[in-house]
Amino acid sequence: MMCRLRAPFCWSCLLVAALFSKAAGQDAQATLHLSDPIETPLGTLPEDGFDSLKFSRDQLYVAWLDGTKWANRVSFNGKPGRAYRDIDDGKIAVSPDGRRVAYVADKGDMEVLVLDGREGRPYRYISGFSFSPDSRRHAYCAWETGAGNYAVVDGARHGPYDVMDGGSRVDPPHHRMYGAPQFTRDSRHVIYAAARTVQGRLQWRVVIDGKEGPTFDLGDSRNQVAIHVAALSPEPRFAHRAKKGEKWITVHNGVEGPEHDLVEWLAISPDGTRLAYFAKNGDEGAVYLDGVVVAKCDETYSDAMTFSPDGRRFAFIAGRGESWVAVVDGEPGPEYDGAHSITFSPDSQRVAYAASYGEHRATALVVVDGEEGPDHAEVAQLTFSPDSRRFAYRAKISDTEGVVVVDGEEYAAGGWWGREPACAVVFTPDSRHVAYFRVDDMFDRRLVIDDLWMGPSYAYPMARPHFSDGKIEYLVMVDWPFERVVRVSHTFMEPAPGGDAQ
Amino acid sequence: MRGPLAGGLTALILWPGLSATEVTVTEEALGPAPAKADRIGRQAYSPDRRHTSWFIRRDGQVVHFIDAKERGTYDDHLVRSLVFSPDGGHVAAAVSRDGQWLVTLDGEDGPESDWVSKPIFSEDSAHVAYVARRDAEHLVIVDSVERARSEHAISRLVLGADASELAYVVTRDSSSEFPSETAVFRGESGPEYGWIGDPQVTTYQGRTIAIYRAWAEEKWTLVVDGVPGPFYDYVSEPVLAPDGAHLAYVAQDGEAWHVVLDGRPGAAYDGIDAGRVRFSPDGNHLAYIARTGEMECLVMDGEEGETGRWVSGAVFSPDSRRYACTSSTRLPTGERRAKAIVDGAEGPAFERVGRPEFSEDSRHVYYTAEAEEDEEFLVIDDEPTLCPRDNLTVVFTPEGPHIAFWSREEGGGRTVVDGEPGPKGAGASKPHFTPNTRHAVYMIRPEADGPWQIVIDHEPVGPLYDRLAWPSLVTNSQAEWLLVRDQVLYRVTATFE
Repeated sequence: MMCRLRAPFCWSCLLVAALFSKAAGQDAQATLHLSDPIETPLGTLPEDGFDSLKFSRDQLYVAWLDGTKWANRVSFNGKPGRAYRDIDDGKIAVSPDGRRVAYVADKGDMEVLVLDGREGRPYRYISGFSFSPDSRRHAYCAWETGAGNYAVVDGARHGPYDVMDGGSRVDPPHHRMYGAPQFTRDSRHVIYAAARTVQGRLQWRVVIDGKEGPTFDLGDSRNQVAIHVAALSPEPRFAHRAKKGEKWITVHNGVEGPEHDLVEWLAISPDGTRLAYFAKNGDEGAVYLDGVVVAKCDETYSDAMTFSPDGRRFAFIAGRGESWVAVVDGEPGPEYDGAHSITFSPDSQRVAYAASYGEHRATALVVVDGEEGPDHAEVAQLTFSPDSRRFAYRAKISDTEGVVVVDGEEYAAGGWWGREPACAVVFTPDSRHVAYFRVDDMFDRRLVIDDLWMGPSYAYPMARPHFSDGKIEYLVMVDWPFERVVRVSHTFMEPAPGGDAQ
Repeated sequence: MRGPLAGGLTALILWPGLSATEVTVTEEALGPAPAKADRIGRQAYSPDRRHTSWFIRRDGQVVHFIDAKERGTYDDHLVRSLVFSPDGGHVAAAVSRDGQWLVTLDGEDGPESDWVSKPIFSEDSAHVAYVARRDAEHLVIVDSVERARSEHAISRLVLGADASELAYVVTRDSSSEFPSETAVFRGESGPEYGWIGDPQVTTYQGRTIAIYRAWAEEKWTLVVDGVPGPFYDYVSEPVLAPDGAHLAYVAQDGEAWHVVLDGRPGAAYDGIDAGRVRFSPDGNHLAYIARTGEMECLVMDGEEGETGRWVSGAVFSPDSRRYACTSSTRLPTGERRAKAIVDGAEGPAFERVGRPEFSEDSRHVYYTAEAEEDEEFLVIDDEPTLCPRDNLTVVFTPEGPHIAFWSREEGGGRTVVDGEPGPKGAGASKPHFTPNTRHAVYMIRPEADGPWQIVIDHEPVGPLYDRLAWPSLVTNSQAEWLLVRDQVLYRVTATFE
């Protein structure tokens, strides 16, 4: 083990650093040149604005709520919007490309959607706003007194319905709408679930582009409907659960699965052709894949099932008694007291997960391709490089010391900091370099690249760094408690990592 | 815990103690009362709490009960509406039978439709109306008779004092994000807008008219009797003076906020809270709270008055000649300082103060207050006295105030009425004084999680009941409740000398 950079020092001394890359397949000596930071001011984050932060897909564009008792504004990329008496900080959305912002503003007893600075029609309650992946389209749910719930998609209203649910987001149960319409990857299709009361029962249907599918029953569990939409399929492929009499079934692209006493935790493959789920019959539980039992287990949980990017492989974390095991391609691994964060590499060939054992699960480790790594106090941010050849994660050594482990080598990261988006460990698109933030004091945090180059000190990084067009950029709060926010950009002078594939 | 009254409050109590009372409790069994888990939706009570209605699920259907009497059987559905008339004499609900929807009124079923809205009553309780959908057409039904029909969606139905004062909204092109809406009042359609708020049918300056908010192209207006006012960035719901002579609303014009009184905008402020715009009972005074910077001030009849970091809405005396509000601010030390202001004069400072209340004769004003270390006070005419706030009831007579509250002690507490503590219990309801203030009526729970018992002048009387209920009637010699015992609903009457 080797820690080449233990103490903080003047970042300007390291603008040019010799880089001896130990990355897989990269033995040649290289020189890393990064420019001075260029800071773009984005305004001042209010004291209580942190929880309202919303980012673009690359996390370089940001909106937050700047509010007082009387006047609330959404500040978007440093530009304050119109003042409203109240704005729900949970209903602010930044488009994936970072160019548009939408939020729900209070108009006395009514609400309006403010999109690109323009107010929409008043409704009693608005929820579930979403932009399409290409940022051009939008959809939301709106409730009108005496009429019901509408899905509003690009200027057209669909409905009314008695209840709507478009996804896994759940609003407070006293509201009558529960989720957001979802767009397919190519932005062409929009999917949501909606229900009408017919002969005393709620009849649900999946609605695709305004066309209602066959009805299904959900019993009394109307808060639990979630439409799982395939992440990479251009076609609207989806799955959900439904009740059939007293039994539960899955419905995958319109096809009903077998009956079970209980169905929970669905996972659909990226192309939408495969479905996995956890089900119980009597006291016996099991995870099913393509309708067949993969492994029996007592429980699993929502993020514990994952398909490889190519959809050919499937892995999940299974609970058996007091133990947890990772099951990869149907083969169970060793038992631990805890396991989480199971993930495939981009080429679908490798798999990693975090595990813990001992009293209070005090010892943590990472398992990569079945090989256990060293013991730590805690591990997080498991990350494969874009070429799938390299692997990195954050590890806690003690309450005051954390490291970033890259290809088995420990890089000092100051104190332990592992759970926020800014804690991500990010590889360059060519997989040669790795960037992360280190913590030398509560409000002294710096970007580090390859344990060799260290940037200037800022009070608090707000999001993960992003590589694009030969640059690395990130959002930080410059100081504390004044909380000036800037977008910091450093240019890779030579060699440029190139690409744009975060 | 602090004991019952302390300090000088006893000096304020001029009325003699509670008299010895002979009480007779009678029960009228109304019928079976379902367990809460068996009910569908909420149990509704009439405004006077003398009647109640609910639905239960039985054999795959729902059964409607009024005052524990079974009335009708319908499809098993999510009960959307169960509404009593303002006078409590009628109850209506939207229900379905064999897939067809209907409105049942006092247990009598109306005509069937494909869908019906929640029924509404007229102010005089004599008429019931709802929207029905039949064969893709929307109908307005009043007292089971069709009064209007449209191929477009009808919603936001309101009835005024009688059946002719009918208003509703018609929505055209409802599949568009920006449909066109028109309000109809007495059969006449108003202008079209992008959105119309809930209409109000009211008497304004001697004429019964419809008033509603409308929105078009990001601008809001208030439409009064079919005529739109100026367009603003926002207008609030209107506030009518009790005598119907004046109408006010809050309007936002860019960064400037105004109160618009009878069509004339007032001074501009940085903000005005529509919820704190109040007319005096005689309609001659208008008060509201306006913000300038971080400070709020009370604006009374256009004149700026009391200021503070937070100022409550004004409370007027019944004779409209006096007013009170509260003002609170935070000191540089972080401590809160709050005061009540009565007729412009500041009262003593506390950490928090409650809403001021005037006596019926407008001569006295009282409020609760809290000082450091959780000391609780009752302040009457600026004189503070240590007094718990739980279940606090204050009634003024010419001879002085009558005061009741719940005094906590280990294992429960006691209701204290004019300084006299009652029996100990795990909990008690808020006491009611009889109109002549000679008697105090409440319910007590002797044991934690146990049943409840009626208490008259600190004497528990009658059997134990499963649930607490508010009295539906309190006269000088009688109090009445709807109470459940052994799964039977009783109308319970306590008669006292």
